[in-house]
Amino acid sequence: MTWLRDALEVVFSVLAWPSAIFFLLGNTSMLILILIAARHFWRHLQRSDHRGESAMAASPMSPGVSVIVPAHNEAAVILTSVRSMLDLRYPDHEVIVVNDGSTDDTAELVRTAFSLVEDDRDVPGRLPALGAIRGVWRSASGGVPLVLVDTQPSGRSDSVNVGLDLASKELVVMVDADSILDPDALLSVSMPFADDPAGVVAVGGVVRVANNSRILGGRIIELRMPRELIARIQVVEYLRAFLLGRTAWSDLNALILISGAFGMFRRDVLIELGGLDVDSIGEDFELVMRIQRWIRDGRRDARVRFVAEPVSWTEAPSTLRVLARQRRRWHRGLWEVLWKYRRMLLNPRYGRLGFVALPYYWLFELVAPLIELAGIAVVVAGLLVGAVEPGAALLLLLVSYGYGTLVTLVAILVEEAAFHRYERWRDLWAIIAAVLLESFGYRQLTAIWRIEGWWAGIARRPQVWGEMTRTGFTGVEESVRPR
Amino acid sequence: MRPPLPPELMQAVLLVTALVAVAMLVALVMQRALRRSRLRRRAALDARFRRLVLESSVAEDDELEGLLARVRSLDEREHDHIARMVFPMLRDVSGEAGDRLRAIARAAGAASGLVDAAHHRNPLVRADAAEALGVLAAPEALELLLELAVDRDRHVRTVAIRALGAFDEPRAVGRVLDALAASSGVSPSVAATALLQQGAAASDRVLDALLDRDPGVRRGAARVAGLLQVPGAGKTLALLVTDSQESVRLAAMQSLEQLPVREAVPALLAAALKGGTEGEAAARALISMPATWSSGALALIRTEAEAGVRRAAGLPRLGATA
Repeated sequence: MTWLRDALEVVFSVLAWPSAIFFLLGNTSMLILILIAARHFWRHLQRSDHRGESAMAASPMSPGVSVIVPAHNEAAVILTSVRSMLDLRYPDHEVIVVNDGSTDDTAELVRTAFSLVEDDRDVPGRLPALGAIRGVWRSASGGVPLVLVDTQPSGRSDSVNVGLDLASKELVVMVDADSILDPDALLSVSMPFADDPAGVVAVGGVVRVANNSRILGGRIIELRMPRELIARIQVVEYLRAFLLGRTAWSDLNALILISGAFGMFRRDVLIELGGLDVDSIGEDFELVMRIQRWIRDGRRDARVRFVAEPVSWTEAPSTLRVLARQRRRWHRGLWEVLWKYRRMLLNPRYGRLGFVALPYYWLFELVAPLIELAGIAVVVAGLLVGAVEPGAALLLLLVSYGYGTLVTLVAILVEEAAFHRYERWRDLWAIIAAVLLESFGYRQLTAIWRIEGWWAGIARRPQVWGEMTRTGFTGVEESVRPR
Repeated sequence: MRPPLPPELMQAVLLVTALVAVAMLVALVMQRALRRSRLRRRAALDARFRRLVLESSVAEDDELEGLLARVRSLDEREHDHIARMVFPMLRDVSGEAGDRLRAIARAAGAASGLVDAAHHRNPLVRADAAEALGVLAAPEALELLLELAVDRDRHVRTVAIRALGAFDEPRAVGRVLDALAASSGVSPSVAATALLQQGAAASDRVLDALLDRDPGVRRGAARVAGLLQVPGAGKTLALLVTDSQESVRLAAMQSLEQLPVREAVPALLAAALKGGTEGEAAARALISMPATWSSGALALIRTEAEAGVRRAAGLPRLGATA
């Protein structure tokens, strides 16, 4: 085994420095993003009293919004969801439910509850649809701004495109049927469009985890930390990467990812760009990349923005099996989109996008799990054959993960100062525990799943979507979940 | 094999990391404890003064002075709190109750120092002053708001323009119209909403602004003209349907839904037949017109326009049963 020991010593000596620098750079980049976001929040909160949301809520000058809700077998939640979306505080919005070939009575429920009648007008057909439209319904009196479209099953992206085609307002927002929206969600996210109608083409909103929260009538009435550890750690991930990371990228004018669970877009731009790519796994990421390329290639004075107020709540996976499937899909989507748009990488035409955001996503999002796992494998193998001193290995791991934990604590501190949505002391302890425990097992597991997803993308294996098994609030709507 | 850095250095790094982490945990807990304590204090003050504020807002004239005297007798911290309670209420309350609330805010000293605040170095203080001037409608408010509406800070200008919506003097209308220009840096929807709030007092100026050289002003005026039903604006709106700027054309078409004029029909039909977003807007304007004006245009749209425009015009698809 001497040859193995020697080989591992060489590998360790070659990889030790680059790995250490990689970890340092990755965490420092995140720290910088968090500090940029903190500066943004500081300014934003100072001015929050003067944002004029009430004036906007009552103003007929606010741009109209079409809320597109793709729904597949959502009979359990669809009525509560549609009612809560119709009740959003906004002066001019319509809701378009696209029933994506449900085998339950999703469409029938909506049709009956709102007394919809068949809409005998043309369907514009500006975007190609895979699933044939079986019918369109609307409110008989026109009093309820609701449209129902029934299509053959064709997937979420195609359903969104059908909704987009039928939308009549200036702005469109895509939300999942089981998402819970803040009553002021449309006001918050449409604000950048109202402020800069010619320049802003897309705005992302914050999506947060709602497992174990108290929900009534499609509204969060008390936010709580999830009960399961893996869901708690996801709360921390959402805060760090989604809330703070995207706020910072938006400030840097280099935002390339808006969550598919809540994004608002100018309808004319989406129509021009052909809507969502139905073949893409990371369709939300792909769309924003396409928009950014359209802006830069056309030398347009346009921007993609992010709004930090919590606007949408979702259920995070609470089992390892579902989490694994989600992370494989996310990473595969990340790889496919980064590869598709590889010509933008380090291309001067794309400015900060090409020289800052994309290198970051390539290095610290795509490749990071591979380097992390490789580092662990080398250290463990070195320990087994005695090529690495145990004390030194432990120190190296503690320093690496300790710095990462510190960065995450900064993120939590910023969130607590700016939004402090988790009011109970026990939730604060749960967040802190999740921060400290994230590095022990969770990170490594997600790294394995991410590499699996990446490999599936490289090997072009067919994507199996599977059911996103939800166990949380959809089934216990109107009630407090048992502890 | 040794690690890349000397163990002593790595131990020191680890120690520093641990210390910083502990300090952050303490900061996290302290921050929450302080915030909760502040909230408790505010809740106690709310409970103490809620009755006084609500009673004052519905008091008869002869009772009001006594209640205001009670407010005046409070200390500075309590005055601040009452002002903080009343300001959000004033955003949603108007009429006599609004006047009463303004009197309470003034009794709590909210109006004092606004002149100084309006000239403060910090733009946030100036923005606060602009907001307060708007809701309190203090005598000196208009002059100061006119000044703040051209402040060097964009945020202050926006707050001042929003506040000017409550004033219908010609100078206030003029300043709000100026803010519609793209170069003003003020949100177009804020300026247009303020103009709308100024109501009939703004009508004549809006009519003139429809032909302004700045497309931002034309767009805002075009949108407001319809909502305010500005007399005589229809014909100019019809001209704007063929404006050089798309946003102005769309605003004019939207307003023609509220202010239909026959002269607009040919231009609207041409736009409808071109299709796209403008075609849809044109179709919506046409269907809001009397059938005697638009029937010919709608017949052409039925046979020649793209599907999206036919849909916007509310026309059944060909072959659909009624």
